[in-house]
Amino acid sequence: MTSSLKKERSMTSSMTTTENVNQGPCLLSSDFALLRQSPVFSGIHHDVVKLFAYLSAHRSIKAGDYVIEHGKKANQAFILVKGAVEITVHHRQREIVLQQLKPGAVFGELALLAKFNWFFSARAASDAEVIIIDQTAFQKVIEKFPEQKDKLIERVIQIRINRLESQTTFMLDQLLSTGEKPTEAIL
Amino acid sequence: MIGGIGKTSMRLTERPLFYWVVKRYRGFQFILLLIILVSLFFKVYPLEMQRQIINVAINLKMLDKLYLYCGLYMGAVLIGGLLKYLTNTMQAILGEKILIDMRQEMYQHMLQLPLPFFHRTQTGNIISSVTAELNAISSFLGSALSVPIAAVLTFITFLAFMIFLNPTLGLISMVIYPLEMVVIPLLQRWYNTYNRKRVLTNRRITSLVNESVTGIHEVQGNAGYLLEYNKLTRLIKRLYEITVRLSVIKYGIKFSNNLFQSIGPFLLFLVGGYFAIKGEFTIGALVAFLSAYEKVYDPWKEVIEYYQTYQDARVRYKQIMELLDHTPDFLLEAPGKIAGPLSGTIEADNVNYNISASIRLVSDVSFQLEHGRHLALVGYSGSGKSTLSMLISQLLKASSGSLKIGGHDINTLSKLEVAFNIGSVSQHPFIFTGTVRDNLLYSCNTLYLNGLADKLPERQEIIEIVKEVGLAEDIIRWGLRSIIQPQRAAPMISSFMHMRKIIQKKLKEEFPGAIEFYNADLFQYYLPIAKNIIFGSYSGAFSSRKLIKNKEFRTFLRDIGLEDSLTKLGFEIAEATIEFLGDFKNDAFFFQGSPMNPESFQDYERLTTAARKRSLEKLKAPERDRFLLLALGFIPGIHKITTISTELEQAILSARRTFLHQVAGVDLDQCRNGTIQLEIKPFQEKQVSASPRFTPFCINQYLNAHSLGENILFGTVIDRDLIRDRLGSIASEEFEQQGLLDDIMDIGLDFHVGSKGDNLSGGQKQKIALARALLKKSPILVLDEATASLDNTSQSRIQRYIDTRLKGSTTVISVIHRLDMISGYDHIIVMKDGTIAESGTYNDLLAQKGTLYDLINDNH
Repeated sequence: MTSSLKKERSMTSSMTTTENVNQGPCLLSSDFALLRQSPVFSGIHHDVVKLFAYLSAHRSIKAGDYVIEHGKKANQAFILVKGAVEITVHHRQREIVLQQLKPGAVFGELALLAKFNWFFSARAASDAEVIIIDQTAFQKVIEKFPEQKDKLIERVIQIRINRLESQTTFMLDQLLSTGEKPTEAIL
Repeated sequence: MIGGIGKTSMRLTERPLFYWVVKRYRGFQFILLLIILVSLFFKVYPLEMQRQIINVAINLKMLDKLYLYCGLYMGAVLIGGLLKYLTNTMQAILGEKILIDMRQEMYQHMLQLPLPFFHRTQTGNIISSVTAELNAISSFLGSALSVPIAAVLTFITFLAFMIFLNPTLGLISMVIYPLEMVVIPLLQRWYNTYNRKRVLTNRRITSLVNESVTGIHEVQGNAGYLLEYNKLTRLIKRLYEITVRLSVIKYGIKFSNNLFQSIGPFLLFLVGGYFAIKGEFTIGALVAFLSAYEKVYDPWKEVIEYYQTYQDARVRYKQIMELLDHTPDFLLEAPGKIAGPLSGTIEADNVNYNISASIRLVSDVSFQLEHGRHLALVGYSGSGKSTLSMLISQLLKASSGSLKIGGHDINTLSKLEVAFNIGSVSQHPFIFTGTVRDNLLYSCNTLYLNGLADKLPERQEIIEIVKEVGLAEDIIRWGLRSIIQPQRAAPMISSFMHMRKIIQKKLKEEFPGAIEFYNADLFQYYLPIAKNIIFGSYSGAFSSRKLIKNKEFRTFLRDIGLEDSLTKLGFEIAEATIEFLGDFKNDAFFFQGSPMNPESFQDYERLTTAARKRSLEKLKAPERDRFLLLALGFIPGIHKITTISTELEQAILSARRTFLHQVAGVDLDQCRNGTIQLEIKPFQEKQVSASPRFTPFCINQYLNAHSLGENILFGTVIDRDLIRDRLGSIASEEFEQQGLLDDIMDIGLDFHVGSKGDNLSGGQKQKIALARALLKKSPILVLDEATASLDNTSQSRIQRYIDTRLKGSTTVISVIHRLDMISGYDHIIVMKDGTIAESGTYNDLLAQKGTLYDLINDNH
């Protein structure tokens, strides 16, 4: 108990000084601000968020390029900063769009928790920019802040549930709009 | 070359230690002995002079005699010393010469030993026996003959001199020697026992370390540190106990020697003094006698030391020979026969292979294969197919039955004949440390070296085979990764520069954000500050540490007013890193966002505190330099720990312009527009002797210190994954168009594969091994699951090559696991429990619905 408290305090004190040192438009602080707004980190201690901001990287994607490719090894999660990204699946040789994401959206979050191959693709619908959080970084951070582990995992699962809900709704809407009877199509 | 003294020489492992000494360099040893004999005279002569000085010169007060005798004394001592020096050197040379022979012959012998020997014996044992243990023997070998002979002669000479001076006294002084002759060998025998144990324990330590290094994956994977540590600790403790006992005995021997040595003078003074007082003996004679007695002890000591090293060498030698005491199964060169091309017919008649009386891996295998036909060996694992293939390639020797290659019994064929006629590839081929080319030509080099091939394959031939096995892309990629020697690159530079432009254009379109191209007018976020300033590279290894010591650079930095702001930046970085990573300083992972390396964290912690207490300006110059170093290594695009201000960026950019213009003498307009500038001021790093050349990052400048890939990219890769595959394919296309593909592959062939091929993937190793065997163009090819670790496309490509290009010309025996690959084979043998279960063509066997049919259906 005491040791974790001590750690917390020392981290807080370090944060304030760091912010004093870096005045002006600092990448670290702007990423910190972006991450804090993201649903993954809502309610997570700001020291942890700060560490993620420090360990994350930026990547810009040209419209039409893939951020995530179906079948490849999953080891990064993404937060969309700019532009739009489409989540697609390949089905019977066709690529079907499941959802379009707007800035602030998180995708590929399951890669933080488990090893698997991507079961969907993500494609930039316009020129886009993402923040990347690496699986190793995530594991390293929760190793250092075990008390935040459960909360972080819970957030990831909540995001997953929301995604599932909205994608299902989207598909059902599509189904209905094509005029088929939904029950038959699903069965 | 092999077996230095001809075919009649004694079997290596049966040779006694002295065999190596007596049979070799006799002329050299004879001269050595002569020199020793001559030096004997110069050992006794000074003693006689001593007597003369006292008895004649001093006694009769003759100064001229004193000078003469002293001069003669000194001269003799000097010549004696020089001769001793000469003999010592000659002995060492002799020892090394013999050692070379010994090592060569033992290594040859070892390489030819049958495979089971290597499975049984731990690698560490073999290594230490042909290296360290042999070294210890060499010091003995050089002195093996000369020392005992010289010592005995010296001993006799001194003894004779003493008896000449006074027979009674001479004989008395000899009394102690027989005593020693009893005591010392006793102690020595005791010593030998422990020495033998020491050698064994040392070997066990070597093989233990060797084992854990070889199996480091397993050790680290299981965190088996403690386990390995305990194993070693046990051995070290044992070694300690043995060594302590050895020392006790060793110094015991020394003690008894010293004791005996002081008994001598005691007797001499007692008896000699008595005679001198009685007037039967002159003082001069007594002095000479004492000197002689002291001197007589030297050869005696030498004999004892010799005896000890002999015993030590004998123990080691015996153990090495015991280890290697096996006979090679096959001769390297068959006497009276010339290895030539055989036909590719293979006949097996009741072939058996047992590893012990009860365990039989191959039993009663018979088949016939005509030249140019292809045979597939299939079956469950452990069915003996690999063993059979190894019997055919003579890696193992059949226990009974007959196996004929081209009509010759395989047991009568020498290793060279087999190597010439059979190419074999194993499932886990071995790749030697060296270049790809060295590895590809391993088989061909052997044949060439032994006179079985007139020439080595041409470059074109190598590249063709490399393409056939599907290694072309890898080789091009290795070519891209190579830093090409300036002379080699020179004729191709203009093409490279052309490619640089094309590739830049293509990549800019395809992946705008993935590369930061070098641009003299822009701040480079993915280059460290140091490179942002000098905007170029050296032909040596670049480091900020070297740069910071360069006086010219420092003066420049100070003049332009950047030193202070950079030192301040360094201090900010240190402060931020220490505060941000203080809790994680033990985990290097978290240092990815800072130019500081984890090892120097504590240093910087101390420096930062000092800088805060006093001020940054008040620190000593070397301490300030540490901060400057940090700033020079700072890469703004990667190190998120801090961000630099636009003003500083601009200051650095303007510093770059000044540096290029004033210090390096680069014309910036030319640099931008791409005219090649040949004259660049030699801004050099003073510490490096081989004056490295500075090359600026100008669009038409070839960067000698950079790899080919970096040269044609001309920028920093930000997203490595995105670029890696694409660059390879664009580059090959362009190389092809420029007609440079073969040249680039030639460069790629010189790629260093790392220790045992560590830089290669399993598939690459396998392809190299296949190409190596194919390049030999032997009439028979034995493949033991040679494509097993390749992906499907590569497997089918190689299978297609075998089916189309080798049919009819090369006999192929292939152990195959993948049953969809066997339809192209002429004949199929299905093995089960070491015997042939089925044999026939693919279609016949399928129609039979026997074992093969079952196997295929199991697989699906």
